[in-house]
Amino acid sequence: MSEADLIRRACEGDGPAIRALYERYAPRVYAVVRRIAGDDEMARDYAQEAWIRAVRALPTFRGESRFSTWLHRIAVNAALQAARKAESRQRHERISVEEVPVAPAHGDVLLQQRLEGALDRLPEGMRQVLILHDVEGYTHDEIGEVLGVTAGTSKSQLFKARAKMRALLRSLADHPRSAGETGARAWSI
Amino acid sequence: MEHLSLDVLSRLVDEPPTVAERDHLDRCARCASELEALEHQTAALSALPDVRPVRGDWEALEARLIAQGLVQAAEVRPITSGGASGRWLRMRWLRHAALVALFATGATVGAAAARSGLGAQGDVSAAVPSVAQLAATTDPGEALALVQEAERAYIGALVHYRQLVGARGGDEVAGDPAVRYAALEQLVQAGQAAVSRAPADPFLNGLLASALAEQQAVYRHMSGAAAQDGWF
Repeated sequence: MSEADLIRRACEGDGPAIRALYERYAPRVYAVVRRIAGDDEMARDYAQEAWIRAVRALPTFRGESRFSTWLHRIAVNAALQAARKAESRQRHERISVEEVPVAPAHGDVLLQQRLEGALDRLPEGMRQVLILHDVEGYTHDEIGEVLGVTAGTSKSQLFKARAKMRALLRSLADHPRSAGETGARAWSI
Repeated sequence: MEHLSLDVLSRLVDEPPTVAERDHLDRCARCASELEALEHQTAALSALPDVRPVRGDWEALEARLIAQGLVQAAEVRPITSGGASGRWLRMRWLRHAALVALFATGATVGAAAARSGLGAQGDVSAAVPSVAQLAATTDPGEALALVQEAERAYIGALVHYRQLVGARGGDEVAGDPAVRYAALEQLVQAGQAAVSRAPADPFLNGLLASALAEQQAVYRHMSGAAAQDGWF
Protein backbone atom coordinates (compact mmCIF):
# COMPACT_ATOMS: atom_id res chain seq x y z
CA MET A 1 0.00 0.00 0.00
CA SER A 2 1.38 3.42 -0.92
CA GLU A 3 2.11 6.08 1.66
CA ALA A 4 -0.64 8.27 0.21
CA ASP A 5 -3.15 5.43 0.70
CA LEU A 6 -1.94 4.85 4.23
CA ILE A 7 -2.34 8.54 5.04
CA ARG A 8 -5.81 8.66 3.50
CA ARG A 9 -6.92 5.65 5.53
CA ALA A 10 -5.23 6.96 8.67
CA CYS A 11 -7.21 10.18 8.28
CA GLU A 12 -10.35 8.07 8.57
CA GLY A 13 -9.14 6.58 11.85
CA ASP A 14 -8.03 3.29 10.33
CA GLY A 15 -5.96 1.61 13.05
CA PRO A 16 -3.80 -0.63 10.84
CA ALA A 17 -2.95 2.33 8.58
CA ILE A 18 -1.95 4.44 11.56
CA ARG A 19 0.14 1.59 12.87
CA ALA A 20 1.83 1.13 9.51
CA LEU A 21 2.80 4.80 9.53
CA TYR A 22 3.96 4.40 13.11
CA GLU A 23 6.12 1.41 12.25
CA ARG A 24 7.66 3.31 9.38
CA TYR A 25 8.46 6.55 11.20
CA ALA A 26 8.61 5.70 14.91
CA PRO A 27 12.44 5.43 14.97
CA ARG A 28 12.81 8.83 13.33
CA VAL A 29 10.29 10.47 15.64
CA TYR A 30 11.65 8.78 18.73
CA ALA A 31 15.23 9.73 17.89
CA VAL A 32 14.52 13.44 17.74
CA VAL A 33 12.23 13.57 20.79
CA ARG A 34 14.66 11.41 22.77
CA ARG A 35 17.50 13.81 22.09
CA ILE A 36 15.39 16.82 22.92
CA ALA A 37 14.06 15.17 26.07
CA GLY A 38 17.47 13.96 27.20
CA ASP A 39 15.73 11.21 29.13
CA ASP A 40 14.13 7.89 28.13
CA GLU A 41 11.03 8.17 30.26
CA MET A 42 10.21 11.67 29.13
CA ALA A 43 11.02 10.72 25.57
CA ARG A 44 8.30 8.08 25.60
CA ASP A 45 5.77 10.67 26.76
CA TYR A 46 6.98 13.17 24.20
CA ALA A 47 6.82 10.62 21.41
CA GLN A 48 3.27 9.64 22.31
CA GLU A 49 2.25 13.25 22.45
CA ALA A 50 3.85 13.82 19.06
CA TRP A 51 2.00 10.92 17.49
CA ILE A 52 -1.32 11.95 18.98
CA ARG A 53 -0.83 15.44 17.62
CA ALA A 54 0.14 14.08 14.25
CA VAL A 55 -2.86 11.76 14.00
CA ARG A 56 -5.14 14.59 15.05
CA ALA A 57 -3.57 16.89 12.47
CA LEU A 58 -3.56 14.32 9.65
CA PRO A 59 -6.57 15.88 7.87
CA THR A 60 -4.56 19.09 7.54
CA PHE A 61 -1.69 17.35 5.74
CA ARG A 62 -1.98 18.44 2.12
CA GLY A 63 1.14 16.89 0.72
CA GLU A 64 2.92 20.21 0.19
CA SER A 65 5.96 18.76 1.92
CA ARG A 66 7.03 15.18 2.40
CA PHE A 67 5.06 13.38 5.08
CA SER A 68 8.29 12.60 6.94
CA THR A 69 9.19 16.30 7.04
CA TRP A 70 5.70 17.27 8.20
CA LEU A 71 5.74 14.59 10.89
CA HIS A 72 9.24 15.51 11.99
CA ARG A 73 8.24 19.12 12.48
CA ILE A 74 5.25 18.09 14.59
CA ALA A 75 7.49 15.84 16.68
CA VAL A 76 10.02 18.62 17.24
CA ASN A 77 7.32 21.10 18.23
CA ALA A 78 5.63 18.62 20.54
CA ALA A 79 8.91 17.74 22.22
CA LEU A 80 10.03 21.33 22.60
CA GLN A 81 6.69 22.34 24.07
CA ALA A 82 6.74 19.42 26.47
CA ALA A 83 10.33 20.15 27.40
CA ARG A 84 9.43 23.69 28.36
CA LYS A 85 6.92 22.29 30.82
CA ALA A 86 9.27 19.72 32.25
CA GLU A 87 10.89 20.79 35.46
CA SER A 88 13.00 17.71 35.93
CA ARG A 89 15.43 18.99 33.33
CA GLN A 90 17.48 20.68 36.03
CA ARG A 91 18.66 17.39 37.42
CA HIS A 92 20.51 16.66 34.20
CA GLU A 93 22.42 19.88 34.46
CA ARG A 94 23.49 18.97 37.97
CA ILE A 95 24.99 15.66 36.94
CA SER A 96 28.76 15.89 36.87
CA VAL A 97 30.80 14.35 34.12
CA GLU A 98 32.20 11.78 36.55
CA GLU A 99 28.70 10.45 37.15
CA VAL A 100 28.05 9.63 33.54
CA PRO A 101 26.99 5.99 33.37
CA VAL A 102 28.81 4.41 30.49
CA ALA A 103 28.71 0.77 29.50
CA PRO A 104 31.80 -0.65 27.82
CA ALA A 105 31.46 -0.64 24.05
CA HIS A 106 33.59 -0.32 20.97
CA GLY A 107 33.87 1.58 17.69
CA ASP A 108 30.93 3.48 16.28
CA VAL A 109 28.55 2.33 18.98
CA LEU A 110 30.91 3.66 21.60
CA LEU A 111 31.19 6.96 19.80
CA GLN A 112 27.40 7.22 19.49
CA GLN A 113 26.97 6.49 23.16
CA ARG A 114 29.45 9.18 24.09
CA LEU A 115 27.79 11.69 21.83
CA GLU A 116 24.32 10.86 23.14
CA GLY A 117 25.59 10.99 26.70
CA ALA A 118 27.21 14.36 26.19
CA LEU A 119 24.09 15.68 24.43
CA ASP A 120 22.00 14.70 27.44
CA ARG A 121 24.26 16.77 29.64
CA LEU A 122 24.15 19.98 27.70
CA PRO A 123 22.03 22.78 29.13
CA GLU A 124 18.59 22.61 27.56
CA GLY A 125 18.78 25.68 25.33
CA MET A 126 22.16 24.68 23.93
CA ARG A 127 21.06 21.11 23.43
CA GLN A 128 17.96 22.08 21.49
CA VAL A 129 19.86 24.29 19.09
CA LEU A 130 22.67 21.77 18.63
CA ILE A 131 20.23 18.94 17.96
CA LEU A 132 18.14 20.94 15.55
CA HIS A 133 21.15 22.27 13.64
CA ASP A 134 23.88 19.66 13.76
CA VAL A 135 21.76 16.52 14.13
CA GLU A 136 18.54 17.40 12.32
CA GLY A 137 19.92 19.83 9.77
CA TYR A 138 17.64 22.79 10.48
CA THR A 139 18.78 26.23 9.32
CA HIS A 140 19.10 29.06 11.83
CA ASP A 141 15.97 30.67 10.37
CA GLU A 142 14.03 27.44 10.90
CA ILE A 143 15.39 27.08 14.42
CA GLY A 144 14.44 30.67 15.15
CA GLU A 145 10.92 29.95 13.97
CA VAL A 146 10.59 26.78 16.03
CA LEU A 147 12.18 28.13 19.20
CA GLY A 148 10.85 31.68 18.93
CA VAL A 149 14.28 33.30 18.85
CA THR A 150 16.22 35.24 16.23
CA ALA A 151 18.52 33.49 13.79
CA GLY A 152 21.43 35.36 15.39
CA THR A 153 20.56 33.97 18.81
CA SER A 154 20.34 30.50 17.35
CA LYS A 155 23.77 30.88 15.78
CA SER A 156 25.31 32.21 18.99
CA GLN A 157 23.78 29.35 21.00
CA LEU A 158 25.04 26.84 18.47
CA PHE A 159 28.64 27.95 18.75
CA LYS A 160 28.46 27.85 22.53
CA ALA A 161 26.80 24.44 22.40
CA ARG A 162 29.49 22.99 20.14
CA ALA A 163 32.18 24.34 22.43
CA LYS A 164 30.45 22.94 25.51
CA MET A 165 29.98 19.61 23.79
CA ARG A 166 33.64 19.52 22.87
CA ALA A 167 34.59 20.32 26.45
CA LEU A 168 32.29 17.58 27.77
CA LEU A 169 33.73 15.00 25.41
CA ARG A 170 37.29 16.04 26.19
CA SER A 171 36.60 15.96 29.91
CA LEU A 172 35.20 12.46 29.60
CA ALA A 173 38.27 11.44 27.64
CA ASP A 174 40.45 12.74 30.48
CA HIS A 175 38.52 10.55 32.96
CA PRO A 176 38.33 7.23 31.15
CA ARG A 177 38.15 5.21 34.35
CA SER A 178 35.09 7.00 35.64
CA ALA A 179 33.42 6.45 32.31
CA GLY A 180 34.32 2.79 32.15
CA GLU A 181 36.48 3.59 29.14
CA THR A 182 39.51 1.55 28.21
CA GLY A 183 40.54 3.14 24.95
CA ALA A 184 40.84 6.65 23.60
CA ARG A 185 39.84 5.92 20.02
CA ALA A 186 36.32 7.21 20.43
CA TRP A 187 37.55 10.42 21.91
CA SER A 188 39.65 11.41 18.98
CA ILE A 189 36.94 13.83 17.84
CA MET B 1 50.53 33.25 21.70
CA GLU B 2 46.85 33.64 22.44
CA HIS B 3 44.78 30.75 21.15
CA LEU B 4 41.39 30.97 19.47
CA SER B 5 38.52 30.31 21.84
CA LEU B 6 36.31 27.26 21.47
CA ASP B 7 33.37 29.52 20.59
CA VAL B 8 35.37 31.03 17.73
CA LEU B 9 36.53 27.64 16.55
CA SER B 10 32.93 26.42 16.69
CA ARG B 11 31.94 29.24 14.39
CA LEU B 12 34.71 28.31 11.97
CA VAL B 13 33.07 24.92 11.45
CA ASP B 14 30.38 26.74 9.43
CA GLU B 15 31.95 30.04 8.43
CA PRO B 16 35.24 31.02 6.76
CA PRO B 17 37.92 32.47 9.07
CA THR B 18 39.00 36.06 9.01
CA VAL B 19 42.47 36.81 7.77
CA ALA B 20 43.80 36.98 11.31
CA GLU B 21 42.12 33.72 12.26
CA ARG B 22 43.50 32.08 9.10
CA ASP B 23 46.98 33.22 9.94
CA HIS B 24 46.69 31.87 13.46
CA LEU B 25 45.40 28.52 12.32
CA ASP B 26 48.30 28.24 9.86
CA ARG B 27 50.79 28.79 12.67
CA CYS B 28 49.06 27.03 15.60
CA ALA B 29 48.82 23.25 15.45
CA ARG B 30 46.81 23.12 18.64
CA CYS B 31 44.01 25.36 17.35
CA ALA B 32 44.06 23.67 13.94
CA SER B 33 43.72 20.31 15.66
CA GLU B 34 40.91 21.59 17.85
CA LEU B 35 39.05 22.90 14.82
CA GLU B 36 39.44 19.57 13.12
CA ALA B 37 38.05 17.83 16.20
CA LEU B 38 35.03 20.16 16.18
CA GLU B 39 34.45 19.40 12.51
CA HIS B 40 34.56 15.67 13.27
CA GLN B 41 32.19 16.19 16.19
CA THR B 42 29.71 18.01 13.96
CA ALA B 43 29.93 15.33 11.28
CA ALA B 44 29.44 12.61 13.88
CA LEU B 45 26.35 14.34 15.26
CA SER B 46 24.80 14.57 11.81
CA ALA B 47 25.36 10.83 11.37
CA LEU B 48 23.68 9.75 14.61
CA PRO B 49 21.26 6.93 13.84
CA ASP B 50 17.54 6.82 14.50
CA VAL B 51 16.41 5.19 17.71
CA ARG B 52 13.78 2.50 17.86
CA PRO B 53 11.28 3.07 20.67
CA VAL B 54 11.02 0.47 23.39
CA ARG B 55 8.72 -2.47 22.88
CA GLY B 56 5.13 -1.86 23.93
CA ASP B 57 5.04 1.76 22.97
CA TRP B 58 2.55 1.15 20.18
CA GLU B 59 0.10 -0.54 22.55
CA ALA B 60 0.23 2.43 24.91
CA LEU B 61 -0.20 4.85 22.04
CA GLU B 62 -3.03 2.83 20.54
CA ALA B 63 -4.89 2.90 23.85
CA ARG B 64 -4.60 6.69 23.98
CA LEU B 65 -5.65 7.06 20.35
CA ILE B 66 -8.73 4.93 20.94
CA ALA B 67 -9.54 6.77 24.17
CA GLN B 68 -9.42 10.07 22.31
CA GLY B 69 -11.54 8.76 19.46
CA LEU B 70 -8.72 9.16 16.96
CA VAL B 71 -8.72 5.54 15.86
CA GLN B 72 -11.44 2.96 15.46
CA ALA B 73 -11.27 -0.13 17.63
CA ALA B 74 -9.36 -2.24 15.13
CA GLU B 75 -9.69 -5.61 16.79
CA VAL B 76 -13.25 -6.18 15.58
CA ARG B 77 -12.74 -4.95 12.03
CA PRO B 78 -12.63 -7.34 9.08
CA ILE B 79 -9.23 -8.46 7.89
CA THR B 80 -8.57 -7.31 4.37
CA SER B 81 -4.92 -7.96 3.70
CA GLY B 82 -1.77 -9.71 4.85
CA GLY B 83 1.39 -8.17 6.23
CA ALA B 84 2.17 -7.21 9.79
CA SER B 85 -1.05 -5.29 10.28
CA GLY B 86 -3.09 -8.12 8.84
CA ARG B 87 -1.40 -10.65 11.08
CA TRP B 88 -1.95 -8.41 14.06
CA LEU B 89 -5.62 -8.03 13.27
CA ARG B 90 -6.03 -11.71 12.54
CA MET B 91 -4.42 -12.53 15.87
CA ARG B 92 -7.00 -10.46 17.71
CA TRP B 93 -9.83 -11.88 15.67
CA LEU B 94 -8.75 -15.44 16.35
CA ARG B 95 -8.30 -14.68 19.99
CA HIS B 96 -11.89 -13.56 20.23
CA ALA B 97 -13.00 -16.64 18.35
CA ALA B 98 -10.95 -18.80 20.69
CA LEU B 99 -12.39 -17.06 23.72
CA VAL B 100 -15.89 -17.77 22.46
CA ALA B 101 -14.89 -21.43 22.26
CA LEU B 102 -13.65 -21.31 25.83
CA PHE B 103 -16.76 -19.55 27.07
CA ALA B 104 -18.96 -22.00 25.23
CA THR B 105 -17.06 -24.89 26.79
CA GLY B 106 -17.44 -23.43 30.22
CA ALA B 107 -21.15 -22.89 29.73
CA THR B 108 -21.58 -26.42 28.43
CA VAL B 109 -19.71 -27.85 31.38
CA GLY B 110 -21.87 -25.82 33.72
CA ALA B 111 -25.03 -26.97 32.02
CA ALA B 112 -23.90 -30.59 32.02
CA ALA B 113 -23.10 -30.37 35.69
CA ALA B 114 -26.52 -28.86 36.29
CA ARG B 115 -28.28 -31.61 34.37
CA SER B 116 -26.34 -34.37 36.08
CA GLY B 117 -28.37 -34.19 39.23
CA LEU B 118 -27.49 -30.78 40.50
CA GLY B 119 -30.67 -29.11 39.30
CA ALA B 120 -32.50 -27.97 36.20
CA GLN B 121 -30.51 -25.33 34.41
CA GLY B 122 -31.81 -25.88 30.90
CA ASP B 123 -29.66 -26.09 27.84
CA VAL B 124 -27.29 -23.21 28.40
CA SER B 125 -25.06 -24.21 25.53
CA ALA B 126 -27.88 -23.63 23.05
CA ALA B 127 -27.85 -19.96 23.97
CA VAL B 128 -24.10 -19.64 23.56
CA PRO B 129 -22.82 -18.35 20.22
CA SER B 130 -20.54 -20.74 18.41
CA VAL B 131 -17.18 -20.10 16.83
CA ALA B 132 -18.82 -20.70 13.45
CA GLN B 133 -21.35 -17.97 14.19
CA LEU B 134 -18.62 -15.52 15.03
CA ALA B 135 -16.53 -16.46 12.02
CA ALA B 136 -19.53 -15.91 9.75
CA THR B 137 -20.17 -12.47 11.16
CA THR B 138 -18.95 -9.54 9.13
CA ASP B 139 -20.38 -6.78 11.27
CA PRO B 140 -17.93 -5.69 14.01
CA GLY B 141 -20.72 -4.68 16.37
CA GLU B 142 -22.45 -8.00 15.99
CA ALA B 143 -19.17 -9.87 16.55
CA LEU B 144 -18.53 -7.94 19.72
CA ALA B 145 -22.09 -8.65 20.91
CA LEU B 146 -21.55 -12.38 20.29
CA VAL B 147 -18.38 -12.35 22.34
CA GLN B 148 -20.12 -10.53 25.16
CA GLU B 149 -23.08 -12.91 24.99
CA ALA B 150 -20.75 -15.91 25.23
CA GLU B 151 -18.98 -14.36 28.17
CA ARG B 152 -22.28 -13.70 29.96
CA ALA B 153 -23.44 -17.27 29.34
CA TYR B 154 -20.18 -18.66 30.69
CA ILE B 155 -20.27 -16.53 33.81
CA GLY B 156 -23.98 -17.26 34.32
CA ALA B 157 -23.45 -21.00 34.05
CA LEU B 158 -20.48 -20.88 36.38
CA VAL B 159 -22.41 -18.88 38.98
CA HIS B 160 -25.37 -21.25 38.73
CA TYR B 161 -23.10 -24.25 39.09
CA ARG B 162 -21.52 -22.83 42.22
CA GLN B 163 -24.94 -21.99 43.67
CA LEU B 164 -26.10 -25.55 43.13
CA VAL B 165 -22.94 -26.96 44.59
CA GLY B 166 -23.37 -24.72 47.62
CA ALA B 167 -27.03 -25.79 48.03
CA ARG B 168 -25.96 -29.42 48.07
CA GLY B 169 -23.40 -28.95 50.74
CA GLY B 170 -20.96 -28.37 47.97
CA ASP B 171 -17.65 -29.67 49.06
CA GLU B 172 -18.40 -33.24 48.24
CA VAL B 173 -19.51 -32.49 44.69
CA ALA B 174 -17.14 -29.63 44.05
CA GLY B 175 -14.33 -31.78 45.26
CA ASP B 176 -15.30 -34.71 43.05
CA PRO B 177 -12.05 -35.13 41.14
CA ALA B 178 -13.63 -37.13 38.33
CA VAL B 179 -16.10 -34.36 37.49
CA ARG B 180 -13.39 -31.77 37.81
CA TYR B 181 -10.98 -33.75 35.67
CA ALA B 182 -13.59 -34.11 32.92
CA ALA B 183 -14.37 -30.41 32.99
CA LEU B 184 -10.70 -29.54 32.87
CA GLU B 185 -10.19 -31.94 29.98
CA GLN B 186 -12.75 -30.01 27.96
CA LEU B 187 -11.10 -26.76 28.93
CA VAL B 188 -7.68 -28.10 27.92
CA GLN B 189 -9.01 -29.27 24.56
CA ALA B 190 -10.61 -25.91 23.90
CA GLY B 191 -7.41 -24.20 25.03
CA GLN B 192 -5.30 -26.33 22.69
CA ALA B 193 -7.60 -25.50 19.81
CA ALA B 194 -7.38 -21.83 20.68
CA VAL B 195 -3.59 -21.87 20.96
CA SER B 196 -3.30 -23.67 17.64
CA ARG B 197 -5.16 -20.75 16.07
CA ALA B 198 -3.22 -18.06 17.88
CA PRO B 199 0.05 -19.72 18.94
CA ALA B 200 1.77 -16.51 20.03
CA ASP B 201 -1.04 -15.20 22.20
CA PRO B 202 0.30 -14.98 25.78
CA PHE B 203 -3.18 -14.89 27.34
CA LEU B 204 -4.33 -18.10 25.65
CA ASN B 205 -1.03 -19.84 26.35
CA GLY B 206 -1.27 -18.85 29.97
CA LEU B 207 -4.82 -20.11 30.18
CA LEU B 208 -3.88 -23.43 28.61
CA ALA B 209 -0.86 -23.82 30.88
CA SER B 210 -3.03 -23.15 33.93
CA ALA B 211 -5.65 -25.64 32.82
CA LEU B 212 -3.01 -28.30 32.16
CA ALA B 213 -1.34 -27.69 35.51
CA GLU B 214 -4.68 -27.89 37.30
CA GLN B 215 -5.60 -31.05 35.44
CA GLN B 216 -2.29 -32.67 36.37
CA ALA B 217 -2.85 -31.69 39.99
CA VAL B 218 -6.29 -33.33 39.92
CA TYR B 219 -4.78 -36.40 38.27
CA ARG B 220 -2.13 -36.66 40.99
CA HIS B 221 -4.87 -36.30 43.60
CA MET B 222 -6.89 -39.07 41.95
CA SER B 223 -3.82 -41.31 41.67
CA GLY B 224 -3.01 -40.77 45.31
CA ALA B 225 -6.59 -41.56 46.37
CA ALA B 226 -6.61 -44.67 44.20
CA ALA B 227 -3.38 -45.92 45.77
CA GLN B 228 -4.86 -45.42 49.22
CA ASP B 229 -7.94 -47.36 48.17
CA GLY B 230 -5.74 -50.19 46.99
CA TRP B 231 -6.75 -49.95 43.34
CA PHE B 232 -3.36 -51.24 42.28
